[in-house]
Amino acid sequence: MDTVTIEHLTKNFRGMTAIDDLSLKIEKGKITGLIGSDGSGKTTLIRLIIGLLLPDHGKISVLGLNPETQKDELNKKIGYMPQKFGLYEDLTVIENLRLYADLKNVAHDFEKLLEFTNLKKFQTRLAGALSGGMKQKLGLACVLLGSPEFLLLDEPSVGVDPISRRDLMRMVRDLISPETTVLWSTAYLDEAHSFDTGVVLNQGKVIYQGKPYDLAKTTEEFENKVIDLMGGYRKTKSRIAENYIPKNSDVEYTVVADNLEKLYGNFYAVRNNSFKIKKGEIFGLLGPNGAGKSTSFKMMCGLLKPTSGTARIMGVDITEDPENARANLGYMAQKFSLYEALTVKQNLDFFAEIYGIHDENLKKRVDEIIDIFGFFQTRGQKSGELPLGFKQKLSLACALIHNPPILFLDEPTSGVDVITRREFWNHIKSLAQKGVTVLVTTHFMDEAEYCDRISLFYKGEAVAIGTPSALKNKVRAKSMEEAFMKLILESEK
Amino acid sequence: MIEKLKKILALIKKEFIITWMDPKSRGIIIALPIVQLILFSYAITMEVKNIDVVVVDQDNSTESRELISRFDLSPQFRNIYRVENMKQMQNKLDNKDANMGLYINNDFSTNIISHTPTDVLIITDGRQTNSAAIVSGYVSQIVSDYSQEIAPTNGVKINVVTRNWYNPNLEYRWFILTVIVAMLAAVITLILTALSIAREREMGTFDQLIVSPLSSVDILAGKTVPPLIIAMALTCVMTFVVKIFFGMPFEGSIVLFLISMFVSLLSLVGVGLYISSICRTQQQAILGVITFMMPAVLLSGFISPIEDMPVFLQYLTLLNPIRFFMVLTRGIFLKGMNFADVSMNLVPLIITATITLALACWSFKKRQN
Repeated sequence: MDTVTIEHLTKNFRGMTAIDDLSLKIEKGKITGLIGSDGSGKTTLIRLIIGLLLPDHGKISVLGLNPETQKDELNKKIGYMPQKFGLYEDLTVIENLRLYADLKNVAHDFEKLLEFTNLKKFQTRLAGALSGGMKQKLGLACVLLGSPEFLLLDEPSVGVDPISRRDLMRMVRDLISPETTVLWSTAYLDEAHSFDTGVVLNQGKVIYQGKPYDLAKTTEEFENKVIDLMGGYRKTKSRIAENYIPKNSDVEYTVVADNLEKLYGNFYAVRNNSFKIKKGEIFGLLGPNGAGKSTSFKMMCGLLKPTSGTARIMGVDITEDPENARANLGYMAQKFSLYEALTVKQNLDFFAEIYGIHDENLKKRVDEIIDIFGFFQTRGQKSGELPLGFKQKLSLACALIHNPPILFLDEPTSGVDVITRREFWNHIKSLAQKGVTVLVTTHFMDEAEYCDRISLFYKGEAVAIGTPSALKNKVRAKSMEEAFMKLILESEK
Repeated sequence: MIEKLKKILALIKKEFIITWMDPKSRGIIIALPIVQLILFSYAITMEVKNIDVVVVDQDNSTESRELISRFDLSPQFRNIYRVENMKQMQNKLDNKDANMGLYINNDFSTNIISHTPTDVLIITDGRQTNSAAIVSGYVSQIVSDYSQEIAPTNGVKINVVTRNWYNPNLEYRWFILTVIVAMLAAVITLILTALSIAREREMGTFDQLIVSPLSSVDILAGKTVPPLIIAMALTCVMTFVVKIFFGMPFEGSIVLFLISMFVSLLSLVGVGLYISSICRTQQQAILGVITFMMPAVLLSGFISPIEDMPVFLQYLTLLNPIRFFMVLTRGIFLKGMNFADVSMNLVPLIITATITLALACWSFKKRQN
């Protein structure tokens, strides 16, 4: 028995084919992982399955219903979690749960959900004040209310730390009945590897469907196989780094955090955070959601005034001379923060100009960036309409456009497909070799290995600083993920 | 310096593209003011037309019939009902079949011939106080015209003098139109500016701007110029429309009009940007605009004259840019206000603009900390 049967499905958007003659069956009672590069049609496919989009051609049957004509009936049987789940940020955790329970007409029995989400202590906190990981868990809890027969999750683990990610996985596995079907779209291949079935999409077509374990026994191997399926990744020289013109400076420590502290009421979001980053070093800030990484980040680039302490960028104090300090900075925010109403090219033009690139140089530089990042086809598209991975790519491009000697990247690879992730890191590493200093946060533990040094952040404080291998040795862990969990557990004591 | 200007220019260009690319804001800018201008000018009118008159003519003479026929010929009056007595007249008025009654006594013609002053009785419908006053104005006009004609030399019998300055035909629409032009320009300016920073905050793009080497003043300039240009262009279009399509006179100087429009709108941009700089979301910004707009319109002198307000409220209106904007539009349009009067009204506007723009700049500098 199949939960979803799709035959010859096609969907076009303004002349671009998003889903191309796709046929697919999703087995009942199984967890199916949906993998694919950015813009391969994952979100479009999910939205077509639940009837939020109508197909141009082809047939879809979900739980024996036609999503096109029987959407109301179907809605009662499915749980859908979009990329950005609609939590009411001005309501508390428990009020959100009550609201969604009432909407679905189910009893107010949240004990088990609260326990699994570890949100029991935070019941009365506003949803807007939760950390990214907690929000996702609460969103998933709302979707799980009323025990839907078919669960569709669109990248629920984007921007979520390893611990919360494990919680999400456990929630789904433990709280659903054996008959429940799950379709889980993800960019994390370790997640996908643990599912019953994997479906790999490429350019709107299914290029692989089968047991992930059959494809590869280990996660690393699986990642390489998936990359091969999606056309392979050939490491080339980073042209961004090649064209980089180093800025002469005799500052040895280009980024310095000097006892940064941020106090909200009587709660320390960040506490005596100090570190020095050498020119050309990649420094990673790791830690669970809500540990204070982003707060530190914001203080370091002058978006937030520290309660005490300061940061120096190329020797310039950020609290004293913010304008000059920032001129050296390329900043990529955690949340997409370019102009969604502007096209890709207009965004690039704009950011180049406000960083002082004009006229001849502007055209040259923007064309170069468009070429290197492969924006030629999408250059006229509004950036708000781009798939998540493309948005991240564009953000990185805008942060790099003025050849900054220092890069601040807040979760640059969240929501980015595996091939683009490798490209990103290729650029980052090559730039570092050219002398660019990089401060980066990430939730991908494999990426942490690329950093020269790591500061592990927990509850507002750095609990460990050192090279990746030093951190692993410290707790005798095999992988960075294991080291992460162990170090955090240790600091709890 | 040129470097700085180029950056500000990039900001301005971006604002224009964003405002223009969004179909909703494009609609707000173009369609809304034009449609509202036309709609309001027809809807909000204090002119009374299609008046039905019920007449009791006890005299039934040439003179009385002549007077009644004047009503028939007047464009404001529609039907003339002749009835026998006061009771029937009262009936008609009770049922609102007529808006007013005219009672002519049986000595009407005799008095006229003997040059004795005489009366006609006008009964208006007091249930609609406003139109009653206007209707009685029309009637007195007709009656006095008539009495002037029949007795030009020897003694005026009913001496009603109605003279309307600036608006000789009692065309109320002209007054309303100047107010509407000012109001619409004010609303559009406030909405455009109030949303601009709040939108960027909501989307997270403001952080990206702050992280760039732009200074607060650069950002403020980039945020001030586009809505100012849009609102100026819009006011010009609306002025053109009222001039051409409604045949409204434009008595004053165009240069003075442009200057006062610029200063008025600049002070409104300041208010809008200040609202925007203290708001976190667009929703808050819209609420902020409404919170400002309601009292600002009420205290502008549009609804009730400022001289009739309690003294402390009169002082409060000095802070209200809409008040001076309205005075200036009306004055330049209808009165041909001169330079001295215009500059008197510009001073408070310049002060408001300086204060609000400085506040906006200070407030988003503070916000980022």
